[in-house]
Amino acid sequence: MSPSRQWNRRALAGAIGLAAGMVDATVTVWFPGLFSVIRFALPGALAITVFSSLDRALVAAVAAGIVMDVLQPSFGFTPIRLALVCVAVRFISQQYVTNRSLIGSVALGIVGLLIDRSILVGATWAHGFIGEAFIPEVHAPLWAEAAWVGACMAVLFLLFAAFSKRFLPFFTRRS
Amino acid sequence: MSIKPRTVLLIAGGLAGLLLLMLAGVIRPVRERVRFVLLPVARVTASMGAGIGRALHIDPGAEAAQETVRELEARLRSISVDYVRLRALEEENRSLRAQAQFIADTGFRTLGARVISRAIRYETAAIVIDRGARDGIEVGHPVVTDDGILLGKVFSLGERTATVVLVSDERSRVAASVSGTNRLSGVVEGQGNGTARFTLVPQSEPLAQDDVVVTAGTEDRVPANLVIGWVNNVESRPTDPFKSAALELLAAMDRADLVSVILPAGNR
Repeated sequence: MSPSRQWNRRALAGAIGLAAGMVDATVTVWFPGLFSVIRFALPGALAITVFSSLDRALVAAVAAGIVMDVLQPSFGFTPIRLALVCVAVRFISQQYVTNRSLIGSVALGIVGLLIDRSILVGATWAHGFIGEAFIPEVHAPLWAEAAWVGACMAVLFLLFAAFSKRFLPFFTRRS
Repeated sequence: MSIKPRTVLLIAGGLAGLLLLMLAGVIRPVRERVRFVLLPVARVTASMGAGIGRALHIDPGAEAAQETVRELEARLRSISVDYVRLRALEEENRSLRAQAQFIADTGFRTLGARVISRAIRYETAAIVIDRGARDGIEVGHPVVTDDGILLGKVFSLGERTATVVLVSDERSRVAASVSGTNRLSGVVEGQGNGTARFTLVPQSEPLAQDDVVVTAGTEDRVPANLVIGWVNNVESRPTDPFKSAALELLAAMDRADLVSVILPAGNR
């Protein structure tokens, strides 16, 4: 792929990240009850990590994280957290769990969510330890968010498989 | 792009450095500039989000809602009686003020703001408004709904935004009194999940169900008589020096999208 095309794709990932962060910070926060589980930044960053490349995922994650960080009342170290999640999930997808199956993609999504929550707990504890007053980040229940992230990953996997040749067997690609 | 353990460590190290810069406040000016760029878009999307949120708001327990309606109707009847009495007193007060050529000047003004983001769940209840230090807002200024009911107080400030901790947040404390007493009676403490308690009320203070609780006016930046809520049930033990009461907050914490910040009149 030519460098200009690579930069275009990174710019597109950044735009997706900005939009997802903006929606997460200012739109879905108004949703009541279980609708509040709807978030786009984390599933989006995870999907780009799993189905595309890490550099694009990092661009999207940092863009989404910065928007959320400056607009939300909470201070959740969001850009750093999302970037760390992308790196960890990419590492896991290369070492342990393949992204070339529906189950594998869903599992990677849920693992990403768990890593995100773990970092959030650690960051909240560290912030509290420093003694500075702050508003902690709020989330829907973990099971609901896991279901949402899993569903997003499954749908995106199916769409990706349907509209690209990446997951087709080798022989059909040659034919 | 293939990723090796060493790359992971490098990226993690870079991010840890960024984290330290964030904690040290070095990137605060950058955050303010990004916020300045994003704020116009955030106003529009927040307005859309509030509209969608209202459309999605389906009350889960219709039966519980019916019960609440019955309870509120009974309370309304009781308050109506009080209202009639108060109207009579108000008329009397007005004529007395006119006689004394009394000029009422509260010394405060309001500044309208839009809620652009929020975090309301469990023990946390906070919102971000699109006004900040540049508009004369300071930490501790009260924020009210359009009908003047106290929502919360400013917790932290940016140049163009402010974070407001709502009365129901566990971090929230407001000096309060029972309406009409004009003296500090206790403290309204947030309990999370949209609830609050009126605590540290001396046993000698009269406190009954349906009493209206207002701000005491003893805090530096909070005027007196901003309505907070009404007393639900009083908990009092003869052995305790203080009594407390569960409060029913009057402001719709989860639906406020337009609010007002109360500022000193000279603060422009």
